[in-house]
Amino acid sequence: MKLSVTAYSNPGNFLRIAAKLLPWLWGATAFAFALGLFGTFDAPPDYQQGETARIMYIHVPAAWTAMLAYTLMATSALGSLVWRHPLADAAQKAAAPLGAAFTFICLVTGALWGKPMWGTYWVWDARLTSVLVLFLIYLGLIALWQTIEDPSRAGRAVSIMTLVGFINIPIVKFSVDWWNTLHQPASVFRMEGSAIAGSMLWPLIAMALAYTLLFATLHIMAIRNEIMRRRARRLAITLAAVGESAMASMPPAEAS
Amino acid sequence: MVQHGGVIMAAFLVTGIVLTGMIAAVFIDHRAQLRTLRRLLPELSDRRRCV
Repeated sequence: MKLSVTAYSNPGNFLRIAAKLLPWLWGATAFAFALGLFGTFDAPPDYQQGETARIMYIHVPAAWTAMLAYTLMATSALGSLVWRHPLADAAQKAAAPLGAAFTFICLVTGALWGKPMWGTYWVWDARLTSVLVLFLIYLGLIALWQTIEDPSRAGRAVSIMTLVGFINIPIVKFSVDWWNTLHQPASVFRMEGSAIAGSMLWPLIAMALAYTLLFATLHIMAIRNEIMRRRARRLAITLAAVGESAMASMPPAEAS
Repeated sequence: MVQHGGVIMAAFLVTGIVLTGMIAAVFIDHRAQLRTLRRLLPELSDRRRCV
């Protein structure tokens, strides 16, 4: 089956492809979560942190997915502004609440992990603060979508804001290298290779895969919902216009 | 008794609730959109044609 990029730009084609893809994605997500959760509780405890290190398997993938969601939003924003891709706006709007939820998980699990390890739920260090800013950017973008009624105008405004906010993503990633932080530096994606033992690394990768698959599945479903919402909106406007013109063409009621 | 068992349980509980909520929200929104489209186009009551 040959599919070009432009084929995906047709919402009808997207809906057909999504309908075929979603059962497989749900299956893959369930399998990845089962594998990841098995690994999470099968992995050995950390020699310093003990059982508390198991929070890593839900905290770190949430952070990665939050950044992935924003990167996808920025790409969609570019697609929306430069190429006027019909699905880019929908993809951007659908990703924002999902990204916000993953960022929320990252912040809460991080705070709960921080209390026994650092003695506090929160410190204003560069990593924690930049992730909080990411969460606030997500909330701001969701609010901006709600404030402008016309979806195409809202899409343009949100796209510009999304691209401006993308500056925060490298800050989140490299904050632990650029500043002295209480948060530990990167231990998986490093030039020198991963600093985590294999028995603890594979469950982390499995959970990251599970989070990513869940995000992809929900994102496709949310784009489908957005396409339906826009169709319903257009239909309601058309029906209202047809109703008005029918009313206008009706002969005036005769007085009896 | 696992040390810091409370925070570990709380972290997994919060994650589970948020992920479940996210899935539920997407499914509820899908049902709402289907219902709206069916109301606007009653002849398209077949859900496969509706989406």
